[in-house]
Amino acid sequence: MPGMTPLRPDDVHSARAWAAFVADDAASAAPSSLEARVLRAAQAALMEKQRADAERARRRWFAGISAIAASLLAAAAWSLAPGGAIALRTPTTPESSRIPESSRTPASPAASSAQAADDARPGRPVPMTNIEAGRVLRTPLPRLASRPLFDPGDGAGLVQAPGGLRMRSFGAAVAEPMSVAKTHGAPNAPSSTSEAPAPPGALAGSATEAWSLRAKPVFDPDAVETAPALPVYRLDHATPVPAKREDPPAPPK
Amino acid sequence: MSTLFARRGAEPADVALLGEATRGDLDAFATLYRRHQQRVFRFARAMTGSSDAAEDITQEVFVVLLTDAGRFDPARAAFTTYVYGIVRNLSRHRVRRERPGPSLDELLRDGRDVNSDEDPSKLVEGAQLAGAVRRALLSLPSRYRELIVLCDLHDLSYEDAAAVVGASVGAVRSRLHKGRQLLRLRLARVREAHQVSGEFRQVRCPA
Repeated sequence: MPGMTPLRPDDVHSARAWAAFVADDAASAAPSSLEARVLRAAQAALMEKQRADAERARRRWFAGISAIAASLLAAAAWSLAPGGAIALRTPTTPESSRIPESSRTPASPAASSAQAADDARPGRPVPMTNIEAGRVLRTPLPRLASRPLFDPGDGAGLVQAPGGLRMRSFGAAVAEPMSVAKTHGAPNAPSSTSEAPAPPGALAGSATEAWSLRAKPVFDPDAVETAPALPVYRLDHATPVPAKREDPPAPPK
Repeated sequence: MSTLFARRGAEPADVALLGEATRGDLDAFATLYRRHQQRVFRFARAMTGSSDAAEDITQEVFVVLLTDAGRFDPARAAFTTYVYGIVRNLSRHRVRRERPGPSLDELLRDGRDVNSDEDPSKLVEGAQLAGAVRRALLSLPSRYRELIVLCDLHDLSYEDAAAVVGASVGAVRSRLHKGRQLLRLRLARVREAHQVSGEFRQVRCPA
């Protein structure tokens, strides 16, 4: 039972010792100076806590303001893009897939004009997400201008990413994309950028070009030069006929 | 759950005082301090065996009460149980940080010193007995000492003590039984040492 002596009641010495201990404990009290000390410490702790709370609230407020400012900046950058330059990429139709590959190269004037028409086409711009805006804003302008934005689908067209900035809005030079022809793994194939642009619909002239411009890397027997026939060796040809031995001239007598 | 504290009926006032003190009312905090400082100081002194340490712990307990008032959940425990829990944790931390309690050899040496006092009166004898019990109590492991202090000195019920130490009532009963056995054993050894030292004194200093 609580409140009883933890020692044996029949042990007189222990009972007396426990009673003396309880009396001593009950008589013990904190000194009166402790109250003022505790009050001072509590006041200091309270002020410190209030200061820490105020600092935390101030940091939270600044974080919120910074987030709002960043969002506004991203929205302003997006809206400053000329002509609402963000347009969805038109899906590839079966008709467009039937267009010969050579006419879809950016080197051709027709493809370039179609690209320009795509860019200038008015439409409802796709909103830029915060992550995309952050990526765009973090990219240095020279790097952004010199960045070759090619569509990995065909390797030639410009990437029509939503929210792609036009450098004209920042007063910088417009970076024209370099046209790169597909080589399909042929490392030594000459690039079409170094050549004159082919007329639309024109077929490739050389065998290498025909091989490299195909949609799939297949073997084209027409493009391969016919190798010279190998020489046929026969047995009688292999062993040459020895020349007829003539008698040596008779010695002079 | 807390029969003792529920009967006392001061818990809502304690909680209200704590809320006002948290909002910066130092008068409410002083009222709260005067209401609980006695038991806080006694418990800390019984656990550490030092009045100086008990003063430090008392101050720290009330500062913690003020700064971490949000941790107190009235649905989980009574306010006094919460205060006892803080005192217990701080006392254990203090004892662990400083040197452990006196060994049995130290107890025996102290007992001989106590017995070697000449011309003992009843008052001095009582102080000596109390000191012997205090030292024997300090030599116990803290898991036994805290329960003996809470249940046998502060008259807490088993349920309240279980809430303070965070154990079940069965564990509290078991630890209390074991602690009392240990305390009896150590007090008996101290008394035997006193008797032996008294015989020595008689031999060495015959009248």
